[in-house]
Parts: sequence; C-alpha cells; structure tokens
Amino acid sequence: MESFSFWFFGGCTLIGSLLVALCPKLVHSAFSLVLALIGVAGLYWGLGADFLGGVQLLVYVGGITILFIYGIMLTPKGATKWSLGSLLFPGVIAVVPLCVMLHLAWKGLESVIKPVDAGVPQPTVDAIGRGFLNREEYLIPFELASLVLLAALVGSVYLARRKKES
Amino acid sequence: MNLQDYLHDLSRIWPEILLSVTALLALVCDLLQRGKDPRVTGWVTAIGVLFTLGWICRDVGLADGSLVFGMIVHDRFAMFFKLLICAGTLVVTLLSLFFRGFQRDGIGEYYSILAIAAVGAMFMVSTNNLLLLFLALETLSISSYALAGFLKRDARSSEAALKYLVFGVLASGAMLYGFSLLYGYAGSLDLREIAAAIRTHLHVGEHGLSPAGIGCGIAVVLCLAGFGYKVAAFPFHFWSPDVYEGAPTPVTTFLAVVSKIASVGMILRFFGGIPHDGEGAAPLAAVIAALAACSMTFGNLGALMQQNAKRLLAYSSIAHSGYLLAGVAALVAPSAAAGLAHGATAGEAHGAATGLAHLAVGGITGGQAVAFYAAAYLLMNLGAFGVVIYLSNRFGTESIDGFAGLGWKAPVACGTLVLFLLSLTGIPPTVGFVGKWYLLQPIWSKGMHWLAVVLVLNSVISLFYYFRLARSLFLVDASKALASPRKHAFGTELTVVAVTLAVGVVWFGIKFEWLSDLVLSLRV
Repeated sequence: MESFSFWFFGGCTLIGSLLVALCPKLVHSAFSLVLALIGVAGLYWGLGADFLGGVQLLVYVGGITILFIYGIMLTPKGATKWSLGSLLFPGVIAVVPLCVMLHLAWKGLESVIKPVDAGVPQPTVDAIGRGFLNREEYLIPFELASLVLLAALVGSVYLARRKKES
Repeated sequence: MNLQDYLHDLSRIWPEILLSVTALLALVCDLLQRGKDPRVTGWVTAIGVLFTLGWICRDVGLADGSLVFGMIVHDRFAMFFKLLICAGTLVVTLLSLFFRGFQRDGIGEYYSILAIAAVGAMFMVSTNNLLLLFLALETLSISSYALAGFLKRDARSSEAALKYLVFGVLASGAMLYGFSLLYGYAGSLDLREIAAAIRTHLHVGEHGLSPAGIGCGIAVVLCLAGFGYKVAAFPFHFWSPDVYEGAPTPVTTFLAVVSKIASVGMILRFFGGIPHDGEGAAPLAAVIAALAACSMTFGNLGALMQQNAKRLLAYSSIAHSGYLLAGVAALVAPSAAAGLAHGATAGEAHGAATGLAHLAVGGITGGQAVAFYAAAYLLMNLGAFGVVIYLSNRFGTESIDGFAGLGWKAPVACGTLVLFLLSLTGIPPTVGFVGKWYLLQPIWSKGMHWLAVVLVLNSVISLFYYFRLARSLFLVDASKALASPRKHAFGTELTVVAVTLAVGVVWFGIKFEWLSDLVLSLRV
C-alpha cells in the first residue's frame, strides 16, 4: 500500500512537472502544475505529514495556481514553439544536477541520512499547535511571522493604492 | 510552563520588542494623522529607535551567552550587531525625515515598514536556528522590497522595487533549497550542529570529497547564493547598481548599510561554528575567498566609470562586500599551523606588524576583524550617503558632473564627504584604515597571502574613483557650478548628521582602542 501510494503520487508529480515544462500553452502548464502539486501533497501524506499535505493542497493547489491562472488570463496570449535548439540549453541545465543528485542518492546519502522507523504516523496538527505556543520551541517564529505578514500587507496596500492627483 | 521563565526570556529580547512596538505605534500615529503629516510619524519612529538604542547600550555588558526561547542567543556578538543595526536605522530614519522626496503626505507607512525591517535584521544576527534565520531574513527582505518602491511617482523607484523583488525571490528560493539539504545533512536546525556537519563533510581526504561532501558542498553553495545576494557580492551583485540608483536615497542607505551589516552578522553566525581547534573547511574558504576577490575587483572596476553618485557608491559597496567576505574566508579557513600546505608562519605575520606595532593586536580572528570593519563601514557609508542626500536636496543633482564646484558652496558637508571617501579608501587617520588593517591580519596569518595582496591593490584602485568624486567637488572652478541651491533643503540638519558621523570616523580612527576592545571580546 505504502509503495503503491509512493509510486502513484511520485508519478503524478513527475508527469505533472514534465507537462509544466513542455506544454506549449501557458494555461495547460498552469493546470499541469495542479497535478504536480497534488502529487507532492500525496507524498507528504505518505510520509505522515498530514498537516503539511493539507497546507500544500490549500495554499498551493487552491491559492497559488489560481493566482497563476489569473496572471495568465490578464497577460497577452501566445503559444511557445519548441525546437531542438531551444530545448538544448535548459535540458543540459536540468540534466546535470539531476545526474549529480541521482549519483548522490545511490551512493552517498544512505551513509549520511539514516532511515528512521517512525511507526504508525500520528496526527501532527496537535504537535504543531503546541509547538507554536511553546516557549522552548517555535513561539518566536510564530510571532515574527505576524510581523512579516503585517509588513507585506501594509507595503502591498501602499504600492497598489491609486495615486492621488495633485 | 512557568511565568518567571517567560518574563526572563522576554527581558532578553527587549530591543526587538521595543522596535516592534515602535513599528505599531508609527502605524497608529499615521492613522491618527489621517496620513497627513508624515514627519510626526517619522519623529515618533526616531524616538522609538533611540529608546531601543539606549536599551541595547545598557544591555551590552549584561550579555551572558544564554539561549532564550530555545533559539535566540543573548551574547555580546548579537548585542554588538544589534547596536550597529539600531544605530544605522536611527540615522536612516533621520535621513528619511530630511529627504526632500519624502516631504509629502501619505507616506507615513514608510517608517513602520522601516522599523519592521530593522526587527528582522536584529533577529537575523541573534538567532542560532535555521528556521528563525530564514524568517528574519524574509522579514528584512520583504520590507525592503516595499521600501524600494516608495516613490511611486518615480518610475525608476518602481523598477528598482520590482528588480529587487524578482532577484530576491529567486535567491531566497535557492537558499531555502540549500537550507533544506543542510537540514538533511545535519539532522538539526541548530546552526552549531550544521556548522559541525559542514566541517565534517567538507573535508578533503585522499580521494577528494566524499559523495556526502559533494552534496553538502552543493547545499552550502546554494546558501551562499542567498547570502551573496543579500550582501551584493559577485556574482550575485547585478541587481544592486540599478536598485541603489532607483530606490529613494534613504532606502538605498538602508540597503547598503543596515541590510548589509545584518547579513554579514548572519553569515558570521552561520559559518562562525566551523573553525574548531584550528580545523576549518578549506574548500569553503577557497570558494569564499574567490567570491571576495571577484567582488572587490568587479566592484572597484565597475565604479571607475560611473557618472551617478548613487551608482558609484553601489559599486563601492560591492567592493566592500568583497573586503568583508575576505574576512569571512579567513574565519572558515583552517589555521596555517594545521594546514601544512600553506607556508604562512607566525614570524612573517609578526615581521609585517612591527612597523605599525601599536596597531598589532595579534590573534584577532577573521570574525572579529569583520565585526570591526562592519562598524567602520556603518559610519563611513552612512555619512557618504547622508552627504549625497544633502547635495541632491539642495542642488537637485546626483551626477558627479553636476557636483562640479559644489564643494565651495557647501564646504562643511562636502568636506565631511571627502573625509568619508578617504575612510572608504582606507587612508589614516580614519576608521576605514584601522578596519582594513585588522582585516589584513587574519587573512595573512591564515596563509591567504594572495587575497591580502588583492585587497591592498583594490584599495589603490578605489582611490581613483573616490578621488574623482572629491576632485569634482573641490578642484573644479566654483564659477562652473551648474546647480543653484534650493530652499527648504534641510541643509543644517543634514550637515549636523554628517558632521557627527565624520567626528565618529576620525575619533575611531585615532582612539580605536575602545572599539577594538569591544570587538576582541566577541566570540567569533
């Protein structure tokens, strides 16, 4: 069951990502992104990170992609034409790190990163909530995040506000 | 959970709390004013920052290295950098108050965002947790993106904000990827454990780097991309001249001084745990040294042909990032005694020092030298930007040709500018000279002689363009001065700020013992 869900969602992610890169129309790329992001959410669930998976769905699939599609709707349309030459350079850039990473995954990582037997995954929401309000854990990042959001909000409202004629 | 523990921990982060309250007060004040007179908001902010500064000064001696809230270190290093950040923010607030472009309604939010940016900067230098480090960095970055675009009527300001945002998000993404890999390698978010993991993995054995070392190296390089972006070091410096030129000058000052010093403090925290018992990370030191040398050279060569004073200072600040990174390279390098391949001996370093025996403190570490140089950089660059604001306020020009002959129309302010330029070059008796001298010591004693030579050569190159600016001010006939003075230019106020900073530059250039004692007590 575990390996089935891994391969299924991993496959979703890979196919989705490939489609994002290769679709000639931007809208199709944006919708393929949904597939890729759902795949990632599924991988998170498989790893027992239920909260992260939920956030992935809500924020990325539900929010960011919608923003992308809005952005595409509001910009001039145009299809990209692929040719071998235009794919060559990005292809090389993509393949080289991929090979390095695969090499590392095969040879090196198991010596560094030990697999842990986490047992039956427990719900994480409770622990996250407590961590946010625990003095020894993540209280300060939680508070600082509110300041970041305030600055972002005030700044973006200022920048987006209509100029006064004077 | 104990209330006493909470209160104890809170008492250690009073500066951050005070500054956050200042930001909120500024916001409320602007609301009560209905956005009419931003100067009131500005003064409220200035007073809040002044209180914070006073608190930090009081607290420097109390710092005991304890860990509060599980991730904030309350030590002298943090207090020292908070002092620099807060002092820098205070001067930037004053410069904003006296900046002509900000003398209109509806920009009260500026001060609030400025204070929040400073809070982020303070957390950056005081945390030892990767998560809070990133969050603090983003607090500073996101606020800075908004600040850069605050002159909405000026297309260049909007362009600057957009460029800064796009490059910044890309760099943040790369850095975050590096962080996630490092978390995998160290198994912890604690910076000390991450430093230990880097030291272990980035060890060149007989067969070169191990596969884990390669992966760790990739992670560190990705992190360096983000850090390099924040300090505008080569090859991540492309944004800086455009952004520095387009952003409102007080914001440019903030980016060039406060943001850069906070980032340098963060880099020192990040890599500070790597040197241990003479061991270090030789490959990392080599990479950082190369980045440093390129930053100096490209920055200085780029500055040679600039026409705009802000662009010139932008390139000059790229070069100064190079000087600072050279100190970081000396910090992470294994000591010469441990790495037998390097030929440096203590005798050589000593021989070089005898000529200036009174300056030889011996045993200053790379991190301490960087901290001293950061303090020097704060004084001289704040001053230089302050005078540029003065000149653009009064004469409406930022180009070097436009400055022709202005020295005789505003002798005091322009005189201080010449002093700041001397200090930026590194000529005694200014604090810039002492800073460079301290930087050279650890670089030399760690066996990176070529880097020391590059640094000195670059100082010579920088003399050309700094001198060109000074020549334009004073050696061109005053009758050729194109610009005519404007009224309501805050001439007196800005001159007072510039003179105060100039006194600091000379004072710490001659009586630097107090500052160097403080720096030598930092544990980096």
